[in-house]
Amino acid sequence: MAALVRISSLCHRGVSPLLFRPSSLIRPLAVQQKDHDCSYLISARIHATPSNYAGSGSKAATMHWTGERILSIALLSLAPVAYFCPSPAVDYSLAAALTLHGHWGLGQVVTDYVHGDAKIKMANAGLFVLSTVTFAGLCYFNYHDVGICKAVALLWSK
Amino acid sequence: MAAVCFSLSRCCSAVHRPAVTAVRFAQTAAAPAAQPRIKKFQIYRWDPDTVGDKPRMQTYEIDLNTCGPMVLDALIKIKNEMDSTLTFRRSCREGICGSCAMNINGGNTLACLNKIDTNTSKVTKIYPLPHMYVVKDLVPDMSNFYAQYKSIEPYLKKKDESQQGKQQYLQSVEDRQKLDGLYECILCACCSTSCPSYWWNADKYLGPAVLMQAYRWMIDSRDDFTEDRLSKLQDPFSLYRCHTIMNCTRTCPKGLNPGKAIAEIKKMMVTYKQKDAVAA
Amino acid sequence: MALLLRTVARQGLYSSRSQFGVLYRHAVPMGTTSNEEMDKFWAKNTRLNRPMSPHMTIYKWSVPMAMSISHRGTGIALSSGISAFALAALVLPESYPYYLDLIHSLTFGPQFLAFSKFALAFPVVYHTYNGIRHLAWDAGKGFKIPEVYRSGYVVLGLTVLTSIGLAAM
Repeated sequence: MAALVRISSLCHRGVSPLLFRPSSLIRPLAVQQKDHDCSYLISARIHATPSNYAGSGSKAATMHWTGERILSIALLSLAPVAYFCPSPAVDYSLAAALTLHGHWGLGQVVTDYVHGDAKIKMANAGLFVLSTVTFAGLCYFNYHDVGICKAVALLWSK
Repeated sequence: MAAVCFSLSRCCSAVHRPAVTAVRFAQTAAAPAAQPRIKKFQIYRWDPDTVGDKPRMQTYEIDLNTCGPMVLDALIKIKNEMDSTLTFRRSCREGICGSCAMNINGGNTLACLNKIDTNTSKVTKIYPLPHMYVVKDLVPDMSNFYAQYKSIEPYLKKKDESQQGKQQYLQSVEDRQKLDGLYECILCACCSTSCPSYWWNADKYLGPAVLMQAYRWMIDSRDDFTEDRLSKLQDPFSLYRCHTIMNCTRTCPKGLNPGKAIAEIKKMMVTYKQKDAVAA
Repeated sequence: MALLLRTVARQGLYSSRSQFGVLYRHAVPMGTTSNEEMDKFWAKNTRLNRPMSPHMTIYKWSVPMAMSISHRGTGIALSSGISAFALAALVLPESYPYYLDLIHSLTFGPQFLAFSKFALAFPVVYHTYNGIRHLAWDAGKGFKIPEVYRSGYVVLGLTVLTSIGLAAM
C-alpha cells in the first residue's frame, strides 16, 4: 500500500515535463509491491502484469508520450533557426533539447531491452548520469567555447 | 466440372480412401507434365516427451502433383502419409478459425491461406509462431495471449445495466461501420508474434491483436467505458511499447490494420478526460 | 476468537479489493482473473522448461522493419556521439577550433573530408526524415502497407540526396 502511495506521488510530480525522468522509476516500485503479494517462482515474479499499473488515475504515460512528440517537433523547428540565426539562446536550447531527446530515446531503449529490477535501476541511473554529464558538457561548451551552432558551421567550413 | 469432381469424389470417399487420391490424380493427369514435382519442406520439431530433446528441423519431401495447393494440405499429407507424430493445430481450413497460424518462409500467416511456393528448387521452412513457448512441434502455448485478451474485457459494458436484456442496443449505420476492419480479427496471433516489441515484452505489452480489440470496444458507440478502457493503458508498457514497426499490419492474414488501430488509441489517449475514467 | 478471525478476514478482503480497484468487480464471476492466468502461464512454462520458438533469426526482414531498427540505431549512435562530444568538451584542455585545425593540418584528401561529412550527415538526416515519417504515423496518417513502403522509399531517397548535398557543401 505504501508503495502505491509512493507511485502516485511520483506520477503527480511527473506532470512537470522536466521531472519526467523519475517516471521511469515507477516500474521497479510497482514490481516490488507485487512481490510481497505472491510467492511464485522468481522468473514469474519479473512478469508483473499490465493491470498492476492500471487505475493509477494519472495520465503520466500519455503525457510522457506527448512530451516526446512535442520535443521532437521543437527540435525539428530548431534546426532552421540554428542555421539562419545562430545565437547563444539557440545554443542552449539545442543543448537542452538534444540532451532530453536523447535521454528519452535511450530511456525507451532501456525499457524495451533491459529486464529485471536491479538491472533496470542500474541502467536508468547510468542513463541519468550520462544525460547529466552530456547536458553539463554541452552547456560548458556553449559558455567557454564557440557554441554548438558555430561548432557545426566551423566543422562544415573546412 | 468442379461439381462433377465433387460428387465423384464424394461417392468414392464413401467407398474407400485411396479412391480420393485416384480422383486427384485424374485431375492433374490432364496436364502433360506427369513427372513428380518434389518439394522439400523443413519443419521445426520438438518433442516434450523425449527427455533432453533439442529443437531441430526435419525435412520432408512431397510430390506437389499429389498434394493440395496450400501449406496446410502439405502438413496434413505429411501427417497422414509420412509421419503421424508431426503436431500442429488446424480446424476450419478456410482462414476463419485461426488455428493454423505459423511462421512460413519467415512470415507469420495461416497455413490454410498460404499457397505452397511451386518453385521446387526452394525449400519451404515452417516454424511455430515466433518467440512463443513451444508445447510440441508447431504448437505454441497461447495462454498468455488469451489472458491478455481477457484483460481488456472484450465485451459490451454498460454503466446502466437495468435495461439489460429488455431491448436491443441500437446503433446507427455509421457507428456500425466504424467497427469494420476491426471485428473481423480471428485472434490467430500472427500479428502479435511478428512484433519485436511483443517478443521482448510479452509479459507487459499487450501486443497488436489485443490492442486492436481494445480499440474495437473503445469506439463501439454502445459501450459506456471508453475512458475506463483508455485509462487502463496508462503505463509505459501495455500500449506504449508499440514503436510503429508495422510488422503486424504487413503480416495480418486477414488484411486488417492493427498498426493503424494502435495509432488511433494513442491519439485517443491524449484527448480523453481522466475524470470520466475515475468516475467509472 | 471468532471476532478476531472475522476482523482479520475482513481486513484481508478489504486490502485486496483496494489493490485490484476497478478490475475486482468484474474478476469475481469469471473464475480466474487474467492476471492469475498470466502468472500461471509464466510459472508453468518455466517449470516445464519448454523451448522458445525461434524469432529474430528466422523472421524475414522487410524494408519497414529494417528502417525501424535503423531509426533506433542512428538514434543511439547520434546520442552517443553527442555525449562523447560533451565529455570531450569537459575533459580536453584546448578549445574546439584548436582541435579542428589539428585534424585539418593532418592533410587528408578532399575526398576523405567529403566522405566524413557524408558519414556524419547521413545518420542525422536519416533520423530526422524518418522522425518526420514517425510523426505522420502518430498523427494517424499513412498506415496502409503501400503507403508505409512509399514513405519509406521517399525517406531513403531524400536521405541519400540531402546527405550528398550536405557533404558537397
